[in-house]
Amino acid sequence: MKKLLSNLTRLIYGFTAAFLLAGIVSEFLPVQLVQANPLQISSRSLTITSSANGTISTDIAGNPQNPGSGGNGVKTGETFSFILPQAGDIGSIDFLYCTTPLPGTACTAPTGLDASHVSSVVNQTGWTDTGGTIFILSAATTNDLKVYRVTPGSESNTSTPVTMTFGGTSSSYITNPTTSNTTFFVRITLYSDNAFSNPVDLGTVASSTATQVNITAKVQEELAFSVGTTVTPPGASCIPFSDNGALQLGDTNGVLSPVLAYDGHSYFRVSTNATHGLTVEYSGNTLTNGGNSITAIGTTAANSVPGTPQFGLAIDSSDTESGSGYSFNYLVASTSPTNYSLGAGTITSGGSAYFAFTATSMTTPQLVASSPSIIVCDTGSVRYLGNIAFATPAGIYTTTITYIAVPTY
Amino acid sequence: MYKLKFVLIGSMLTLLVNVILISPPTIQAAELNDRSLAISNSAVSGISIYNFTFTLPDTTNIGSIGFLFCTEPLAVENCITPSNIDVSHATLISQSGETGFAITEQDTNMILISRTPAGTNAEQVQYIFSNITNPSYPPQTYFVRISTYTSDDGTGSNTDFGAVATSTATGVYINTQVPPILDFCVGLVITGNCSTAIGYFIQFGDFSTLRTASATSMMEAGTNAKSGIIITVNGTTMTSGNYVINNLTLQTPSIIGTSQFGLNLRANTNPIVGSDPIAGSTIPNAAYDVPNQYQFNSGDVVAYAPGPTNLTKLTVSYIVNISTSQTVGIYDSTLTYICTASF
Repeated sequence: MKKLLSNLTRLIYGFTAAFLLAGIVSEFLPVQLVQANPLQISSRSLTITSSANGTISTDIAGNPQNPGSGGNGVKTGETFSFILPQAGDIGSIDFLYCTTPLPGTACTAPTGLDASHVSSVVNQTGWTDTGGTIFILSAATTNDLKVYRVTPGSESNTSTPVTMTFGGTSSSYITNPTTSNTTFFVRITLYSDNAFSNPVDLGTVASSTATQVNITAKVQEELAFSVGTTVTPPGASCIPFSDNGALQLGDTNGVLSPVLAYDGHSYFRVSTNATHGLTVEYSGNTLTNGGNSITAIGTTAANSVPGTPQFGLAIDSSDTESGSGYSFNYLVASTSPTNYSLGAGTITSGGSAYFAFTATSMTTPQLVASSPSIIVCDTGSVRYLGNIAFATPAGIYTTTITYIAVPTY
Repeated sequence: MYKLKFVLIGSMLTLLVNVILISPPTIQAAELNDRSLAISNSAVSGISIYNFTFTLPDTTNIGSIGFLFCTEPLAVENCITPSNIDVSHATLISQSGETGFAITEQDTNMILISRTPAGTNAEQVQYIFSNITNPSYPPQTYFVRISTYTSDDGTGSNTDFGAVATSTATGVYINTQVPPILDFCVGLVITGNCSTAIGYFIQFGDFSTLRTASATSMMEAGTNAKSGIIITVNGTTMTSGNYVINNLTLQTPSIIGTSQFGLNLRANTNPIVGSDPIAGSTIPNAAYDVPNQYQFNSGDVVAYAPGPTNLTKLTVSYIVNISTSQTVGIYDSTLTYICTASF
């Protein structure tokens, strides 16, 4: 009897244990199989086209910034990238923008962030889509983007990143939070179905707006202008002339002749950042000796006539002096109202070089060259012509010609 | 005590509100456009006219415009006056665009022009000042900061701003010398200047009692001698040993069949020979300046210029007549012309 009771007790315990085990299996095992804890996606990142806050769409100067560019926080683009932790069906994905990262906690939308203007998935890469279709936008609200596949597909790529890109255009975009230096999070949840019901993977990415660095600098007005009679090379820094500007016109003793024309050269060198260009003018009298003078050629350019009193000047484009002399890359010698561009050529009687000079330049400086734009470094060679008649009174004749640079900024 | 605190706090708040409301807003000055400065004289320390041109960027009222002369252009930098520039004596000699201004304040590196504040037309304006002394040596680039103000005394924030640059520069000092000039030559033919003079030998051929023998030579003279030149003829009449052909000691026409040797410097018709002077201001002396009248005395002044003269081409006409009693022989003569300049 005792043995019978013992066996009965064992039987009861066995049934009880079997019942309990069956109950546990029947109650819990099916749930564990269907609602397994989601795995975490890895190597996840969010790349934003702009960290400017969501009120900024221009630079400091007020210039509009293109949607999707670094300076436009109103219309940004975003690319999510991550590696799937497991193979299996993926039918939908939810991107939820919050001020905190932890899934399952309450989500507060970042202030000013607005994803409601996203109209499509711009790009998606790395997805294998086996048996399914590509992701399309399901819904776009202020802080939530949802994408799904019409037909869920199986993903087998668990080694390289998959990506999803939204916005970045003028019509489809995400507006950043409107406060600079604000961190925000996007909680990413992947579902095996296309109804956002069965989460299988998840993860959170972080990003932040940032204060823009507005750099302002002023380039000041620049003008470097020098005049000389001794040629020196400009070098890389447009080295100015520094001599005293003395010029002896005539033979080796500075003597003119009624039967032979003489010439001489002076030089000016200029650089400027004047955007509206620069003019070079001269001012001065003709050669004089007391009450006597050598006749200025006038405003109509003329060639040399030895035996006739002539004083004139012109730009000599042939006087390059191995790169240290004439070098107009921006300037152009004036041809109107007076032509000062023909200083190259011969100065024998009826020679090919033409000169002009007017003493009215003393009160109204005369244009000899101009540039419509900035000048990096130009050197002008001015050729002077001196002729006298037999009757030209003897004496020492002098003049000082000043050159004036007039930039327009 | 608490009441006093509340009163003080209330007063401070009122003051703060007033400060916020009354303080003028900070205005970003707009940039003056197409601005330039043309000076009439770039010489170091030269007296120059300064011509400012620029375009107003907006229609804001303007009551005054300041011109500040500095070594640097930026408004944020302290203004260092270019060495010895002086605009304190400048005069506003011209204005266009926005007008009605007069200089109301100036010192060595600053000019303020003012008017009753008035609206503008965002137009190009021009202001020209005379009697400005350029900076002293060395040649340098310097700047003028131009500011416009709504006030008529240059106070308050500037409305618009822009700087212009200009530069003094070394003048080109041209020095040359015109020497004392005397250009004189003799030849049978001179086509151009003296370098073209050729020939020295006149061959009359055989004299005849039935016709006048004639020939020419040429001279060319030019000078810048202040008192001019005289040209003399020196030599003898034509001789053959002791036999002579008589020289004409007075102006005499050519008479065939008489013994005559003479010359002049004109175009003649009896006989047809010679030419009048060409160019310059050298003229024949009276004794040799009458067509068809001939004379020859050694040492005579045949031509002169009272002052500087360009090259003058003189043609000397010689005539020879012989009588039936002229002894046979070979007659010759050497004439020397001497040009003397008085500087």
